[in-house]
Amino acid sequence: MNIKGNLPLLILRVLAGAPRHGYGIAREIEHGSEGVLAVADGTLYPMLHDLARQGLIEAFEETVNGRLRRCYRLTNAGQRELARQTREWQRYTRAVNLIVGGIS
Amino acid sequence: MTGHSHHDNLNHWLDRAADGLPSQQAAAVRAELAAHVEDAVDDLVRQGVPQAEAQQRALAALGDPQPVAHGFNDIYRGRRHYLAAMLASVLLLIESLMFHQVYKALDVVDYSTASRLLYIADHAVFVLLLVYVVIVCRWLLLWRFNVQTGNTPIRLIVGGYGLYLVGNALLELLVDSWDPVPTLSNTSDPVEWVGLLVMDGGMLVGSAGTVLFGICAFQARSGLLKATAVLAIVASGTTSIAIALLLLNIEAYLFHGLSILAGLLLWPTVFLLFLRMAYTRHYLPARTA
Repeated sequence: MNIKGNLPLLILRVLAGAPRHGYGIAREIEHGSEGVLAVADGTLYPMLHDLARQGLIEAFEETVNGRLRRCYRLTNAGQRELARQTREWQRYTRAVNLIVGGIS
Repeated sequence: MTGHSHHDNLNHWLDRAADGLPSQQAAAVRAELAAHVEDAVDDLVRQGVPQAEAQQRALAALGDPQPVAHGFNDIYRGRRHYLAAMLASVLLLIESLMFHQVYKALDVVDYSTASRLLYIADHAVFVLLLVYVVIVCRWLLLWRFNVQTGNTPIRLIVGGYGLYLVGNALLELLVDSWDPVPTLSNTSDPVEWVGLLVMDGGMLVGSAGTVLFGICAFQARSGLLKATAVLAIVASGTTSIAIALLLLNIEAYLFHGLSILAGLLLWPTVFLLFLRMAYTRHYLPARTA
């Protein structure tokens, strides 16, 4: 499934669970959606850098499995944005369900 | 695939993904993506995939490096230029709306040397701003919308408007007075004739370039951007036709007036709309599963 429009929401949601590095975020999206949602791993990074520049997430360095990795965590602004985007998404899916669910 | 060739392939991929970035950002991006591949290979090997196959699969999972480079260039190079180009568009609009009032206020609407130099400087600034905005729009189309415009429209625009400036300078510096809506047939002075030909010919080429640019922009997957591209095509197309009529010695004053309106008001408006909506939209390619 193509997820490009919803990638920021997915990233923010994954990081709300725990800070992660890029590889961890990509795998969490893939596994968390039972393989339905997948992003080309490379294209995740411009989005991560963009969210960091917007102040929604922040980068920090951490040792993961004995190696130094650039990890990301949600900021307060990111939590507010996640809540806003989640409300938007629920409103949207409810509207679609009202129509699709009503078709027999 | 051998370990050595994996290293080469990874480096090649990273070169393309970091292409165009300032060195500091390029180094950070390369390190982060290389670490990603390292983690992916380790993960696959832990799952029992042979090392060589794991390396191959990890690299393939990164996807096409070009949209990655576009995304990073958009973030690290584009943003300040998008803002600057929006400011340039506002200046173009103000210049279009206000310059004649400024002339009147300064009382320099005559054929004095000061007035002529002011006109030349005004035209030069207008063209420089226009070219800058077009170049930024080109980057934006490529980095944000993945639309290739190629070099031809830019060459036509830069070359055409460069000629326009040369022709305008010839007329202002070497001709005593010239018809504000001239055609080639109503001038007998050879210098004025050449000046008009170069100026109008240049504008014709430049307008043709902007029509071509608008056609390229129309490929973007955005309804609003398509509408703006159509507006740009109509505006510069009107100018092209008006200039062609003038070069053919047809005095179509209504059309000429329309082209002036299009050139002065529509173009800055189009650019402003273009940059404004593109600045607020994100289109990052993703793999479909």
